[in-house]
Amino acid sequence: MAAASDGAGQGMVYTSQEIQDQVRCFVQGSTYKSKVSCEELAKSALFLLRTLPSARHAVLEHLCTVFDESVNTHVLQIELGSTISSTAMPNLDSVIQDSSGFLMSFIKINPGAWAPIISSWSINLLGHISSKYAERRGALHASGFNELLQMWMTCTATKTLIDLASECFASLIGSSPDVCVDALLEASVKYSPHFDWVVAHLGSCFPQTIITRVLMCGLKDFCYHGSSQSDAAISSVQNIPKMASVVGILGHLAGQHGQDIRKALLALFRDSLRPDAERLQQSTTPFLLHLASMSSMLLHVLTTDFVHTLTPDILNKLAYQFVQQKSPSLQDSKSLLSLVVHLITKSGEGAYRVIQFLLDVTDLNCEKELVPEVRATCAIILDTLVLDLQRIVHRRCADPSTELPILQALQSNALKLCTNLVTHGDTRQKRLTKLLCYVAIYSGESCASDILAHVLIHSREINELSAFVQMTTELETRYPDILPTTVGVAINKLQQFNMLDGGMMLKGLLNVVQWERNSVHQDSKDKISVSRCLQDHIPAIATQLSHSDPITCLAAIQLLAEIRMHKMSTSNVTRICGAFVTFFFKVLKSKDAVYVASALSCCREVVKQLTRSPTASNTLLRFLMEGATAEENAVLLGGREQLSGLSTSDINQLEPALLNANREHSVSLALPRAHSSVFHAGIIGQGLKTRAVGLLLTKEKELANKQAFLGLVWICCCGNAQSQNPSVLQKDGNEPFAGTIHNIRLLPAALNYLAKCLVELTAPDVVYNALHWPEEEFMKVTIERDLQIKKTFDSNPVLWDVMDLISTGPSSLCFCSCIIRGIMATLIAYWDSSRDKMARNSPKQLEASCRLLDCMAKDNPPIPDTEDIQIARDCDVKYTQTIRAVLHSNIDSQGQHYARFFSAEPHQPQPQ
Amino acid sequence: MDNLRLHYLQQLDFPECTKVGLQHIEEYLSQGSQRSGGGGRIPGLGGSTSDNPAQQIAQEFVFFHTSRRPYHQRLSAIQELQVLEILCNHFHEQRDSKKAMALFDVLFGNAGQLEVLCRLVSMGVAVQCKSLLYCAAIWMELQGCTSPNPTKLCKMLVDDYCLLVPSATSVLCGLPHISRRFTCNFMTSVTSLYPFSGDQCPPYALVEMITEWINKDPGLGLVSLTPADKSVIQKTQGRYGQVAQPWLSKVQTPIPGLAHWCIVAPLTQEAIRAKLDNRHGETAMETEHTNNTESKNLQIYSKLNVGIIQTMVSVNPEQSKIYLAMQDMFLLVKTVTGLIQQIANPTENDSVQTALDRLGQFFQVAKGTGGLQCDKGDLARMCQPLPSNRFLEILQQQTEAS
Repeated sequence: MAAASDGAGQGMVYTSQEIQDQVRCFVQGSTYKSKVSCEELAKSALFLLRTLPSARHAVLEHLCTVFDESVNTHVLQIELGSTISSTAMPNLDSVIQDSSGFLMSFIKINPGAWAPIISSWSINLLGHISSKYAERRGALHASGFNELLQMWMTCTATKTLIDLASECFASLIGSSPDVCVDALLEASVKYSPHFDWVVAHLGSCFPQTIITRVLMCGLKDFCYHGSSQSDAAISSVQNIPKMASVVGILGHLAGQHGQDIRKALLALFRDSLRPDAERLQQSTTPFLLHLASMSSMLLHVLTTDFVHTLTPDILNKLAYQFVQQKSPSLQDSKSLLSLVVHLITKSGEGAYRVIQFLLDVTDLNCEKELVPEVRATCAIILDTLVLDLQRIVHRRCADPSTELPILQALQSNALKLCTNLVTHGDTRQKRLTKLLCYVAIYSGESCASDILAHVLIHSREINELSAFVQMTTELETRYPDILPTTVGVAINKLQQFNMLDGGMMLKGLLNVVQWERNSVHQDSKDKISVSRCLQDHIPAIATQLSHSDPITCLAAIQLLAEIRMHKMSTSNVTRICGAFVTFFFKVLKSKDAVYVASALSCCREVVKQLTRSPTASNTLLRFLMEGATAEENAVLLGGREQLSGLSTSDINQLEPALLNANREHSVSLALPRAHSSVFHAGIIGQGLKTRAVGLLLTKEKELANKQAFLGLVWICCCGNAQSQNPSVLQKDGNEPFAGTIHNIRLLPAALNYLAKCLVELTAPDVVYNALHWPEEEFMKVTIERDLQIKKTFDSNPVLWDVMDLISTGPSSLCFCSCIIRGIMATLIAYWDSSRDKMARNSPKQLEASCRLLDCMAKDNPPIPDTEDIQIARDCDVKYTQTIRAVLHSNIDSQGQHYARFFSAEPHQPQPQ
Repeated sequence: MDNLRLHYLQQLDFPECTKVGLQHIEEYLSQGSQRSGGGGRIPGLGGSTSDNPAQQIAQEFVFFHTSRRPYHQRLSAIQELQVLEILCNHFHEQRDSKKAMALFDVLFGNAGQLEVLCRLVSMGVAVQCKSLLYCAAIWMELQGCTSPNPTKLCKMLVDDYCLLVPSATSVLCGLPHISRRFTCNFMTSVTSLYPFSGDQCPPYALVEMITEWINKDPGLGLVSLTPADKSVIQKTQGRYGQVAQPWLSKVQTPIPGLAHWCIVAPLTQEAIRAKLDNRHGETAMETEHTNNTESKNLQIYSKLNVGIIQTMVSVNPEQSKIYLAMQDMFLLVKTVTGLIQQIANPTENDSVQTALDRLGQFFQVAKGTGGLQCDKGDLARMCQPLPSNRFLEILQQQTEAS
């Protein structure tokens, strides 16, 4: 720099003679006519540079050789190791530094004049040097851009040159960037690919300008070659020299200036669509496509950012542009299309958007105003894409190492695509279904099952169902076990916390199951069907019965009704039964008649399924009974005692909210750190919760409820027996009490169990429940208990009906003997003390008495087996006296009953 | 014989063949002048250049533009420098201006080698090659100083000495010592090179240099009025026939151009200032910088104005009739009017008044020295589109009175 400053300084006037001498010296030295030392030569060169303007070309040319020599030394050093010290060219570096100092100072003093000269000089020299020594690099040759850059930057000469060039660029970039960039690109084309490091380096100094210009240059080149080679143009794009350079440069800049590249590409694209676009700009789109085919980075930009810009308007413009371009022969456009398809299969992150876009465009329902050609082209692209994918995916089975970026990318968006499938109807279904299949096949079984499950639980319409079936058939060829897995996934989703659209999901499952039932193929038992798979997930579905949304519940019960249940563990049975019974009573509370009807019929179906196993039917019976006697349900079945005198309000508020809230928790899986139960005694500040009371139900409703309840109980008691006789089943499904009851043998065991249940629920404590009539003294102790039993019966009138049912069993009623005794005792006490003339004056008691007697009067006396009959009949004479007297006095009309009460031989002693 | 000569030259190596080639051309030319004296060839109808052996040698051994020697396809820059050096030396040693001009004409007469010519002249300035510059001056006059080629040459000189290598400006400063004629023509060309349109001002160094020249030597601007030696240009008449014949009517001086500079400069200055004012957010330093250049410019242009007036005053009455035409005046007034229209409040603007004052002075002196032939109406017509100016009004009154 010191040299530079005094060299550029003013006031030094040289005589013409001096100048002439220096010229002579310089010419002699540089043409090797006479031996002039290197320093001498450099001195005179620099002298001429600042005194003889017209000699600058020669001086710069001379400097070229100097730099070249320096690089040569450097390369030699690298090749041979550092054994060759710089003794050969001792002062080359200082010469270089001096001259670069001079040039730098020139650029600083007058950038407008010097920068163009020096930039083109330095760039050309750089190009020359880098291509000249490209082959010499030997071992270094294999290395990439960065190492190349590293190597050249360590060389003094090249580093100086590139510093000079960037200095020029810096001073020109504001005023006339084209001047220097053009020189750069010309050199780039001339010396490509060895020159790329220079462009990359300068590019990273002035990203925006370089990127834009590089793209333009590439476009020009593309156009030129494209037009000159006509048909073969597209196929031989890889041979266009500049394209590789452009891609290389952009690739190098992508790391740090991705955003700039993105902007530049977009700008290029936009410009090409302006109405006044030139012929050159019109081939932007093919150019960009070809660029993308050569660089994944650019492809990424294209697929992520460009898709957003493709509005209908722009698409139409593009179409117009292509039509306008006279040349595109059929061959041309075909190869362009196949290129597009190829690019799509290569696209990664943006693949989803691209597919989405294509689907949108091809969708005829979409309201965008598109030229028909655009639509047709997109359809062709999509179809070709699907075909290609099919080919690749199936070929991939043989060679799993093949990568397919589009499917990889779509994998993460598969569920969105599924949603697309579900929401957009059949216009895009075919292609989407295929696409999804390939995604599923590509990404393995678990993903496949995810996709299938998603389609499954979202399918509502028959279309979607068909999509599911299609996909299943296609996928089963690859993954035989896909269906069970899918169902498992679907059920797991069902249980996800806060799943709002559970109802929809269940509906989807239901659709499939129903379809399976109706379809002919189901005849083949070997085939795995969804409903069979669902058998493993019954408890999970059953928990959905506790869902707060009635639609979900309905769907769940419908689904349960469709599934054939097989053996289950006790805990599962308990869970299912519990959920079911809760649901059942919830249904009874509902006012929506249609809903109730459909739900109840399903309930019956479910009960039929459940009662295949005795355990289940017992559990169910118990739960039903418990439910029926529970305070909040009693009112549904005619119980009204507690309600008397209370105001009316919505029946729903009758429910204990806390219990309900806790039940809801069972719908979903308990997550860690989530509440699994609710404790709630009211809202602070409002005191204790007031008891809300429901309105009275109509008699009809009560009756219907009762009927429904008893129907279920009845089915439970029928056990397996009735299910073998569908006709009967159908019949009594509607009216369980309509006389058919006696035609079917109810299971004695079930009835016994029911009887025991009844005792348990009505008798307040552990009491004497033997068959024998207790001691008279003992009876006195039981008055309170008897009253309690009677009260329970009064508040739950349905229990009478249950008892009726029990009494149909051959000997089940005797398990209820304590109840009968209790009620009887209460009634006798009442009648004893009653002073009314007419029994009709106390209707309740009369009704109770009648019903009790009815039960007892059934064909089957309340005696379990013949052995005990004797014992039972052998009761104290004092109790039978009255009957005997009554029979005696009416012997003419009631004589046939005598034998029932009294054995032939009176006063026969009891066998002990 | 010509073929023999060519063959001989082809045997020689590079620098030698050029040197010898030049000698051969001169020999040929001297013979040719005898021949043409004998009426062998009609000047102006002298066939195509390729027939001319002198041209042939020049193309092949000076410029190396020939298809016959592929290994010499193009000279490197260093070799070109060598050629320039040889040419310079040759012209330096050629004392006979007639011969020099003839050679120059052969080499550059058809303007095919403009670039080489530019470099050669640039080098000639540096090495003070008088005869070369004299030839160049004649060449410029023959071409017309404001025509493209001479303008290009001058631009190259300005670029080289004022812009690219400011340290070498002093070399150009000595130009009048080398060739007054060339200097004069250079000034004429340069004024047409920078017509002050828009923001394009001549480099300050150039203006400073010209001012110095004119002030030191008022007669410098009038050199071109003195006709060149007829015998010198006689040889070339054939080529420039139509230009050379009406010699005096076509002659150009730097005076109108320089006057144009002086008058328009304050207005351009004003326009630039207005532009800067519009562009706010300037740092104090920048403002100071522009103020500095402005005052410097003001000074230099008033100095130049003085120089021009001195030059005009020193005009020889015989020459006075030809250096200015009323047409030039109207053109000038048109430019001035155009520039004034861009200025907000012309009548109260100092710059406008300065410009108008200078216009008036120029007009007055030109008329006074007889350089401008005009009647009363001309002045009135000239002043009509201009804003009011005291000096111009006085001038008009005087003219009417006289």
